Amino acid sequence: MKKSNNISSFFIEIVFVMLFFSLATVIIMKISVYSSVSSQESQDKNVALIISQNILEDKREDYASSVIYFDDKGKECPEDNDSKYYAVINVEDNKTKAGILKDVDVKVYKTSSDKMITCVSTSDYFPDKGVER
Amino acid sequence: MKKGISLSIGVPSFIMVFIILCITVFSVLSYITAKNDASLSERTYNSIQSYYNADSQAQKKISEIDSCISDVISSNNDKDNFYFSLKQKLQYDDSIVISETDGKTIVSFSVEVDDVRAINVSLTVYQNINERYSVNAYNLIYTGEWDGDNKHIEVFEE
Repeated sequence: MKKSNNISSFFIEIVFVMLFFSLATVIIMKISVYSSVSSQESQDKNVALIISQNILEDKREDYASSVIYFDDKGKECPEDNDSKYYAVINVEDNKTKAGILKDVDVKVYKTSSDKMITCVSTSDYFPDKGVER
Repeated sequence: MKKGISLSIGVPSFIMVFIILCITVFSVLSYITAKNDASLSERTYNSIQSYYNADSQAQKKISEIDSCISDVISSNNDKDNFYFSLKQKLQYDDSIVISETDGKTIVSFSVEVDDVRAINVSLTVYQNINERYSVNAYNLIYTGEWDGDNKHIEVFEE
């Protein structure tokens, strides 16, 4: 009688431990997926912001509508060379009375999914004659 | 004499449960860190967007001021009247301040970026159609209140 009691308690323990194990595994897997998605998103956003700011600050003097490709570290690279992001620069010239106001739109996309990550826009004024900017 | 089933947990099972609990806690912590990083990135994005929106407004305002200066220079031959004509022309915008110091006409304004930041712009205006203005200042300033002076700072612990 004692032996059978011991066996059943062993099985109950195993069942409970297995249930706990599977439940915990599901929870851990879910959390891992969420955290990996979340960290990927924030990494994409950070790189996209660096790309947008670089474009808006460095190319101020010679804005032109174009598409530029970047690798995973935000470094400019050719289109076919494992580009991870691409930036679409859209420039619109608006003639004012005494100069040109350029509206610049920089949208950064992920190459793999064509999903837009960031969109930063600004304007830059270029006066007509010899005005120091 | 023993009645019913005795439920005693074995040491290996106990260790396994403990390890799984530890892994769960660590994964929750890593999720919280990832979530915080994502929210920091979002805040940075919003801050950069509001900065460039304000920058855009400032550039538009400079273009409007330049147009006014150009109009005043082309229509006004009286050099002494230049300051008043320009002042009148820029009256449409309350945020634009025009002043005259040491014979120089200074036009300044600021554009709010967010609750605690603003872009401050100052231009010196010339009565020359080819060189209408020069930028004295174009900077990001802190507009929040600093109350550090009224607080006693503990440098050395007593």
